[in-house]
Amino acid sequence: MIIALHSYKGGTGKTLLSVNLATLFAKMGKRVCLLDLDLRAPSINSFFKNGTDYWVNDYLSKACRIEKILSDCTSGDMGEGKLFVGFANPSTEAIREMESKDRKWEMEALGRLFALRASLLNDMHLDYVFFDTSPGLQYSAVNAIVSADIVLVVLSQDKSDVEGTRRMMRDLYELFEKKTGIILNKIPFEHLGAAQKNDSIKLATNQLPIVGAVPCSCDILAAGGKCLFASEKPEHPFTKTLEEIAANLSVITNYPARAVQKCAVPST
Amino acid sequence: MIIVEPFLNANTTRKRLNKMLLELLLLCFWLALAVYCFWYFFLAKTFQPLTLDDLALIWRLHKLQTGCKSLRIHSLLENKNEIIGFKCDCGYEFKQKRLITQRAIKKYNYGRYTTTANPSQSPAREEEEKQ
Repeated sequence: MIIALHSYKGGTGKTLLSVNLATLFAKMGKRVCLLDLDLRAPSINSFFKNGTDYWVNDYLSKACRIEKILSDCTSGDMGEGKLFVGFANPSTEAIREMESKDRKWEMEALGRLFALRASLLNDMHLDYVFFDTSPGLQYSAVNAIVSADIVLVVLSQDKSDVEGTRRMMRDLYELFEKKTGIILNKIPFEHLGAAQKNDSIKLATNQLPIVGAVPCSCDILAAGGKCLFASEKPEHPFTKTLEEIAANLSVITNYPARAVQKCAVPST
Repeated sequence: MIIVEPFLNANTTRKRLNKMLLELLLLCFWLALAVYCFWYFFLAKTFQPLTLDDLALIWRLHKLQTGCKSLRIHSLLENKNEIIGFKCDCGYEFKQKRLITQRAIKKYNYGRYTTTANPSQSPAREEEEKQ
């Protein structure tokens, strides 16, 4: 199953959630792969110390096979589980190069992402593949969403974020009939219960299932994006919420994909 | 004189025959040219690159027309380093073709997501700048 974590705005916590969810599933004994598809602001490499010679950029540019870019980041507490991570090149030159890519390249990259399914799920027998995407409607993010099975939208309580998410819902997720779930992030503790029942969010997101509400935590801010909570702090409330999200993923799997109500197909 | 006459007749007949053959050859040539022109202008097609918007629209159209229940696109089809079509999970294949004579549109610059991601490249803005 390929899961893409996406959001309308940046800084909503996609990377933190994707890294920790991937780690959590690996701890549950699953074979997991995490790919950094935020090619314009790579950040997953800050969580892991593994070095690599090949990047996700190289795979998308047809410079190497998928096996070359995957680093084995399995830790001792993962038991039978496995965690493979594909990093995006964080160098300034690589980011500039990605910025200059044209639509033809982006379509070819989409073809490479479609080919991932056969390589990772069938050949390498992985259970879950997580895509950490770039925010908004950038082509690289759209590609990740189109090639994924499930989209988890990370949403904050910000009004502009909610409205932007509603637009993406109509123009992107429903257009490609993606199974979509909402993760509410950075919710103040006192609003935690109410957040999941928040009518304005439900209205904005077309009644999509909310798979989890992550409380705002000073510990997460203090960790500064260096701590793998799922691995290092299993009793932390954040990890407990991640466990709930992992359990709720099966809800989305059984949830019907939403299609665009008004299809823009010309009559013949 | 008796000896030369049949020779002259044979020569004239051969000339006529040659002329007829030449005319037939010329007719064939013009016919072939006409057929080729018809094929080139009205039938010959080339593969055209597919955009993300085309992909979404055609995939949805296929699902509506055939009642296909697939939830995803299986893969993209490539020709000469260009994405020209897709394969649905149900096995249906689509390849985008267009008449050779039809003007090729520079599609990669005019996608829906392009205008959102980089408004400076939008055709509307280019027109505004021209004005």
